Formats: sequence, structure tokens, C-alpha cells
Amino acid sequence: MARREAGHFEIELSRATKISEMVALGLEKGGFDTEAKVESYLCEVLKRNREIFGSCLAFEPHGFNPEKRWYAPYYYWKDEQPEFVQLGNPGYDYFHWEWYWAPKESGTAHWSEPYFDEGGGNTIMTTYSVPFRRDGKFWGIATIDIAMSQLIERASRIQVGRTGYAFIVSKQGRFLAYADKGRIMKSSIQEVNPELGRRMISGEDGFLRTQDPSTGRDAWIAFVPVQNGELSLAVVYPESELMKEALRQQVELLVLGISGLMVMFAAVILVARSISRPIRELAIAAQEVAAGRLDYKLSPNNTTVDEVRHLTFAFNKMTRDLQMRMEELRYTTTITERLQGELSGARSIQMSLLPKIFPAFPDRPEIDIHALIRPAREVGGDFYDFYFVDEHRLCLTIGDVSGKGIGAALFMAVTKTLLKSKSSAADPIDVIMRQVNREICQGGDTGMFVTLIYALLDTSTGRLELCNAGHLPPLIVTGAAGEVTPVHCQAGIALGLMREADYPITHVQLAPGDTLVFFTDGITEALDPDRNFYAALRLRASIEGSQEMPVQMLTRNLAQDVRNFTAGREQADDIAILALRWKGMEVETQAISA
Amino acid sequence: MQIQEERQGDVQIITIDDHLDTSTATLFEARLLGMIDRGTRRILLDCTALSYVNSAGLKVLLLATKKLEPFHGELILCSLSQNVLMIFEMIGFTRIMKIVPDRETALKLFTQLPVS
Repeated sequence: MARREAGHFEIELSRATKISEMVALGLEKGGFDTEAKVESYLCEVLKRNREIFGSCLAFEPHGFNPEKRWYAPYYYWKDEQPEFVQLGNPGYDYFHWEWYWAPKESGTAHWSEPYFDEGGGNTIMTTYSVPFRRDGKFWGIATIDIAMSQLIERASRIQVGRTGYAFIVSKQGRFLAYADKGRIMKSSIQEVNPELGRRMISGEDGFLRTQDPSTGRDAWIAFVPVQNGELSLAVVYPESELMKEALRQQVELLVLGISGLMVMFAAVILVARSISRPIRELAIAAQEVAAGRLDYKLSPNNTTVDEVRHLTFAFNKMTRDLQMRMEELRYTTTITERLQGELSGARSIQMSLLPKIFPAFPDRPEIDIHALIRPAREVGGDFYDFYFVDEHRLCLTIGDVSGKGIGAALFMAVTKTLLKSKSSAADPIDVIMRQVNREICQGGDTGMFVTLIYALLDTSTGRLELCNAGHLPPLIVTGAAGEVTPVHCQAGIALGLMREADYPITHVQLAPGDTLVFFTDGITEALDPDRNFYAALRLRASIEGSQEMPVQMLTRNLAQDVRNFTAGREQADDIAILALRWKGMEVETQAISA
Repeated sequence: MQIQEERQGDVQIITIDDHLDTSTATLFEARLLGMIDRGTRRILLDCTALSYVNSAGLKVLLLATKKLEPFHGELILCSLSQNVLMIFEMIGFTRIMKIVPDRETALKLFTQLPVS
């Protein structure tokens, strides 16, 4: 600021200097041979330059007119009119004044120390003196008087902060413009602040923390030379205000900082939201998927954040895979359900193959027959059958196909059908057995075989013929005490093991009231929780003394006893029981006669 | 049921125990038939610790025997308990399977068989 102000002063002062240099040059070039010509030229210069206060051309002794020692015409403004005065006279021997001799000696232009002009301008003035020559020889001095009132006015108008100000001092340190008007031209900076004064007078520019020359308070003072150090301009900045300013700047800085932070914060929130929004959407999507909406898709274009986009892609892939797995599972479940449906269908077909209607032969009072089958969980291979091959002869079969499942069920159906189709009154049972075995053996290497008992009872005589193909022999409940005895029969090999096998016939004569009990190994090999077999002994005990018991009760009691024995353990194998009581021909006769 | 395998010469010895029934037959079938599929031709089944066998178990033995037939392979059973032997006899398996009293007899029998 001090420099800027100084620059203004420089411009104003330099315009004035140009005038005097121009006057001097005009004098050197123009042929001013008479005093009248010189004086009119000088008057003309003054009129053309309203900003100068006065101008003088001071010649060397006898320089212009050999007869005149002093010739120094001077025009100045007085009451808005150019006024002429002849300066040179014996009382004002101007050759000894500084404004004359200083430029004469140095040969260069000179600024005078500002002075208070009384009578003329009544203002602070400065004089600029320029030497001029004729024929290369010093001839005189051209001067311009410049009123400094405008400069001073301008300097005093300078407002620095609230209480700061500017001041100007001359080359000698005198105040030209100052806050305290009373000190102008009367006191000097050296008196008030010697350090500041020294530095200002020496023509330096600088910045100093020192005492305010007018108030004595701490202040920062900037100073800068004007017009080659002829003047020095200083700007006073009270420290209290500077601090206030600094504080204000600090507050500004703080406000700026806070607002910057808030802007940044807002930006961060914005960015964070742009990241968190897709993640929130992911979370929502995850809930949707968890709730079973597997077709829920996320748009990967929702975010610019790579990681989040990858996450979105991964999420979509996951739901897609999940959907696929679910569909596979659904498909598999469908198949499994269908298979299970088919299995249970197979089981019901299998069961429908067995005679289930009891009493089976209501018109045959000489026999009571009952059979039951308790299939295990899977489709099994136990079966029984009974039918009359002629008027008196009843064919009985009980069998057990090895293994489980559809294969066993089919094998059983084939065996049963074969037996029934081969059965005839004509052929002996061992022949039928051999034929059936051969047929079964042609079935191939399925590893399947069937143990069975094939029996033929002549209901008129009580004669029983039976062939055993590797099966458990039947039991007979006989006598008044209901004793249980096994039928000792010659065992043949199970059907399906060997193509050429014999099945010897065992003959048994039943007594009226005897009960034959056929069964499969599902009974004797039923396990209790301690892995004990039900075994033949329990079986015999169970049916002992049941000679009076209706056959359906006998079979059911036996099945229930086995169930109690296993005590909730899953039934491992099918259970089949067939009980036949032969009452003898007398009963039949009685029934007929009745 | 535990299934243990050991090799003696070209004979694969399998030891089984406890019950060979419906619940264990599937696993035993996979092991035994898998062995034959991988090229084993001479198998000795040591039944010392086997206490019970039912038709499902016998079916596996029958299947293995039939599978070995085309390769002139052999499945020999040894050291059957009385109970198990009774079941074999009843169903007729003693007639279709090679059953010997002990391991030594079995291994000796294998050496007498023509190399398959």
C-alpha cells in the first residue's frame, strides 16, 4: 500500500520535473535575445501548466545582459493571474542560494527541501531546479515551484485500517504531511522516532515494528522513498488493529476451514452413500433371497465402486446357482416321490397277489386256514398262497425270496405264478418243483433264489405231501395238550441255486385237529433291542397249547408276540405266517349231513 | 459287521464278523463284487466270527460265485460256526459253495486249483 501511494506521488512530481526540463531546453534552443522574449516565454509556460505554482529563469551574473549582474525573471500565480517579479537584486543575491548553486555544481537537476512559502502561495512548496547551458557553458537555472498541498492532502486522506494513517517526511526528516497538523514543517521524524527517522531519511524502504510517532503505541510502519529519496512516505498500522485484523483473518480462516470441512464432509457422505446404497440394496436382496425369492436380481450398474460391483455380481451368481440347485432338488424330489409312489404301487400289487379274504373256504368245514404277512419297510420277498387243485386237494405255499426291493418282488411274483401254473392234480409235487426250479434258474445271474415249502394236503384223508426248497420246516400243533413238533422233512436246495436239483417229498399224516404252522425266517430271526433272536424256541412256546384257538387268532397272536419282542425296533425282514387246521372228515360229514 | 482284508499270495482273504443280514448285505456286496471287478480271482472268506447269515447275505455269496465262474475264479468259505453252517445246509448252500473247516485247508485247496 505504501508503495502504491508512493507511485502516485512519483507520477505527480515527475510531471512537474518535465516542465522545468522543457523550459531549460527551450531556453537553450530558442533564440531568446531580449528580456521581453524571455519573460513572455516564461509567462506562457506558467499559463500552460496550471499545476505549477511558479517558474523562474535565473541567469549567471551578467549572463544574459552584460550590464546586469542579476537577471532572474519569475512568474507565479497570484489571485489566478500570472504575476511577474524580478528576483535578482542586491538584497537577494540568488547565486548563493542552494536552489541555484546546488544544480550548478552538480550539473544535474535538484529538489529543494520543502519550505513554507509565505506571501506567495501560503503553502508548502518545493522547488525543482534544472541547469541550462549556452554554447556548452553553464548559463543559468530554470526552476519550477510546486505546491505540495495536493500531495499532502492526498497523504492525509490515506486511511489505514480504522486508526492507521500515512505521513510524509522530507529528505531532512521534516513532516510534510502528518496526523498532527501542528507539527508540519515544524518538527522532524528524528525527534519523534530516531530509528525510524534514520532509516526513512537514508532513502530505504522497509517495514518496522516500532512506536507510532504520533501516539507512542506499538505499530507496524511501512516506509518507502518517493522521488529518488527526496521524500519518504510511511504508512502506520497500529498493532492492536493489526492483531484485530489478524484475529479477523483467523476467524475468516476458521470459518473457511469449517465450511471447507463441511463441504468435504458432505462429499464424503455422498461418496459413502454411493457405496452404502448398493450394499443396503444387497442386504435387502439377501433378505428377499432368504425369504425364498431366488429370482431377485440386483443391477450391477447401481454403483461405480468396483468392489461393490463385484459383490453384486457374486451375489447374482449365488442366487442363480441357488436357484439351479433348488430346481435340481425339486426335480430329484419329484423323481424320488415318483419312485416311492411306484414302490408303494409295487407293494400293493404284490400284496394283491396274495389271497387275503378270510374265511377263505367257507364251504369247507374240514379246514380252517388263515395267513398274514407283515412286510418290512421295503418291498420284500415273502409270500404265501393256497388253492385247491382238485376237489379234495389243497395246495399250500410259503416262500421267501432273497433280498429286497423291486427285483425281489418281481422274483416272488414270477415264482408264485410259476408254481400255480405248474400245479395240477396229475403231476407229483417233486416233479413240479423240479420244473419250477429249472425255469427260475434260467433267469440268469441275479444271485436271487427263493426258499419255499410246497405242500399238498388231501383234505379228505389228512395226508400231507410236501417239498422243502431250503425253507424252515413247518410246525404242527397236535394232541390234546397242543404240543408243538416240527415236521422233519428232507431238505432240498433253495430254488434258483442249481439247475438240476431234486426235491424229495416228505409224507405226513395229520390227525384231526392238528394245526400246521408255516412261517418265514422274519419270525425266528426278529431281533430284540439286545440283538437276541426271537428264535424257534420262542416260536414254539408262543403257539403251544393253541389247539383250540381259532387259526386267525393263532397267527395274529404270534405276529403280536414278535412285535412285542422287537419292542419298537424296526422290522428288518418280512414276516409271513400261514396256519392250517385240519378238522378231519367227520366234521365234514357232520357238516354235510347237517 | 466289520470287513477286513488281507492278501496272501494271490489269495484275497476277507474276514467278516457278527451278522451278514439285510442291513449289512449291501455294504458287503459292494466290497466283494468290487474286488472281483478289480481283477481278484481267488477269495477266501473267513467266517470264524460270523454268527448269523440270512438269505440277503447268502444272495451276495451266490452272486460272487456266479461272477467268478466265467474267470474260473474261486470263492472258498472257511471256519463256519455251527449256526451259520446249519443255515447253509438248510438252504442248500453247502451244495453249491466250497466250504472248508479252516484257513490252512482253504489255502492248500487254492494251491491245488489250476491257475486261472
